[in-house]
Amino acid sequence: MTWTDSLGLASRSLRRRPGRALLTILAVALGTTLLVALGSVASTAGSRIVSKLSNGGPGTAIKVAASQADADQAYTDDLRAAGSKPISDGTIATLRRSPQIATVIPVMASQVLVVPPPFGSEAASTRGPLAFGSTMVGVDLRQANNLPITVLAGRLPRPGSLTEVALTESYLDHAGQSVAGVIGTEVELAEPQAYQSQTGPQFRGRWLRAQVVGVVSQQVGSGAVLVPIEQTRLARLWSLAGVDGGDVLPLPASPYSGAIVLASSLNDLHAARQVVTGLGYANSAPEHLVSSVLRYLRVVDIVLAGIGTIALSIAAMGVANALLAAVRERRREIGVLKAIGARDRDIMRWFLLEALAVGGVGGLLGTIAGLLIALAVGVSVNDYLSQQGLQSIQFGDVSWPLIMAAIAGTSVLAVAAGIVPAMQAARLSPREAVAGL
Amino acid sequence: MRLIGPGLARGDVGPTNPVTRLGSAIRLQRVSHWYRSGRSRVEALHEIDLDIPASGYVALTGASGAGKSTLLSLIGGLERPQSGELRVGEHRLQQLHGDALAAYRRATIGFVFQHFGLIDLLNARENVELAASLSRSSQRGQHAARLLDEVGLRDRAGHRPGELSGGERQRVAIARALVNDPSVILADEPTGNLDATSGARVLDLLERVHAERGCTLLVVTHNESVAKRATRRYQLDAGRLIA
Repeated sequence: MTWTDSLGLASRSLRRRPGRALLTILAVALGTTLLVALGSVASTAGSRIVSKLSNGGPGTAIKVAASQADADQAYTDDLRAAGSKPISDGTIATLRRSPQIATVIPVMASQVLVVPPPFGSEAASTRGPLAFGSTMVGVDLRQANNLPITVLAGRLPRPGSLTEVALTESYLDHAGQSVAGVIGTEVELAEPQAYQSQTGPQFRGRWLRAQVVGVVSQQVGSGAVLVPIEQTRLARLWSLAGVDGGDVLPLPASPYSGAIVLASSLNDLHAARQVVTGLGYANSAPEHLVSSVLRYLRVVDIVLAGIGTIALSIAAMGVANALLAAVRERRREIGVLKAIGARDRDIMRWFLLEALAVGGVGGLLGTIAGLLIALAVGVSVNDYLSQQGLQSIQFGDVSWPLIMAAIAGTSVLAVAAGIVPAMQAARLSPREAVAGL
Repeated sequence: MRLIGPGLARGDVGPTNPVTRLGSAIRLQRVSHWYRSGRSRVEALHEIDLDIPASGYVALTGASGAGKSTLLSLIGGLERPQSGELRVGEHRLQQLHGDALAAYRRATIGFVFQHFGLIDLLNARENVELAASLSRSSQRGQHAARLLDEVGLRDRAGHRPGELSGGERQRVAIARALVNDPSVILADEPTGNLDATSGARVLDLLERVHAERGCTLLVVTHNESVAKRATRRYQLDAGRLIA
């Protein structure tokens, strides 16, 4: 008997008892739904918790400061600085060579005078270096996904743009401005340079107008404005070109104000921090906290997986029970098939394909239902978060590996559940089965 | 004798052609078989010696429980004798197991049951095709259609067993039994569930198959008139061959 014949026979057998087939498929689907929904929600919630602990960035992020690490740096998640220590391109290159480090994103900050939006507002009347009292933080925004930056409104400036900025939440708080009121407005920025006048050193600004495209909460570096790193590079070059070469302003000795180091994985986080600390840089990462929370999340995963597995086991027993009933019901047909020359494996294949069909269809339906439930939970959770003024969670990302694993897993489970009934059918004595025919 | 449908053909063998192949000879030597019922042993057949010549037409009679169906199931390879020797053609059945026994049933034996034994899920053509698929026949669709045509059921090929009369079902069963070109046809009360007219048609068909294909035909029956039509008849009583 060919596979096609067996499949045809299995399909017709299922259609002969549509009620029983439907109930069995539903049992499998319900088990899969529970497993997928719980898995999806737990996975999203876990990622969100780790992300939150990492201030919106990946859990593998280490924030490095242009400061010397003190002796206790290795034993705490917090930054333990003990004096300045420049971060140069050489430092960045050294860090990038470490196998435990996936990438290094330098951070460059520069002093700036910010004239608050809307365009045309009055600048502060402070004179001298104190006028440039705000900080502009520049990073490579092509790697924004790897940075502890949360977009609260609007979007991030385009990478490399010299005409777009994002204001930080802290700046808006200090300036008494609302998030909604600044998006789309223009802000004026002045980057300082010292020059020699007849009365001594004076300061002038390199003025630029930029559109406010977003509002962010960020932990990259303390500052009022987030810009592409190209903007801060130009500002630094402008300041260095002043008469004092940066001594009057004064400019920090370090080309980079900090860096974000991403470990290759959460498991490599500790080793990556050791590399950074070994180079003598103060750094911070929620290493111990994330590790501790992950352990709790693992326990939650195990409990949820256990609940899903129990549901799937009940479904598997349903499949086995339905097939055992089918074997009893089809004794005569099994006997006839054997009498006309079917081998034991032909009979087994008939029943196993029936189990596979039930598992596959149930798995597919259950996976779809599980994802829809996860999506519905997401909508409901986001409604709540929105009411509480918290950032929403991204639910409903379709994980193809999860979908494939769920369908394949339930199919395999159904086939496994069908083995005993199929063997029972295959071993049925043809003589007994055709008795009375 | 009234034939049903056009003449049967197997390869180039037609109703007017001579038979090109002999069916398998069946030889039983001191064959015994018993069943377990709790702790007791129920003897179904006791030291049966029987010779059926190749292409013979034999009727097996006896009361209920005499061992007719057991003998048929042993010859048909549904089970193996517990003692003695049973040969069908070149096959020594007590030495066949598993797939080899299935292959023997598939290639050598054609079963016709009293209650037809058709698969209700499948229509007439599919029932015949299913048997052909077991031997991986390449042109099974055409083969099944031709056999149904030959048993006079071309127009009923798409009907399921429940939509056919008893006689039609038995003819489908005969077409199915023939699809793998067996050398032995074992018919267990083939007319037992049919009215006289349908029964006679079925018997005619079996005899025509026997005559044209040269296969050995063994019919188990209670019916004297059916038994009389065989060229040789044997009678079983309480597991022993008495005539």
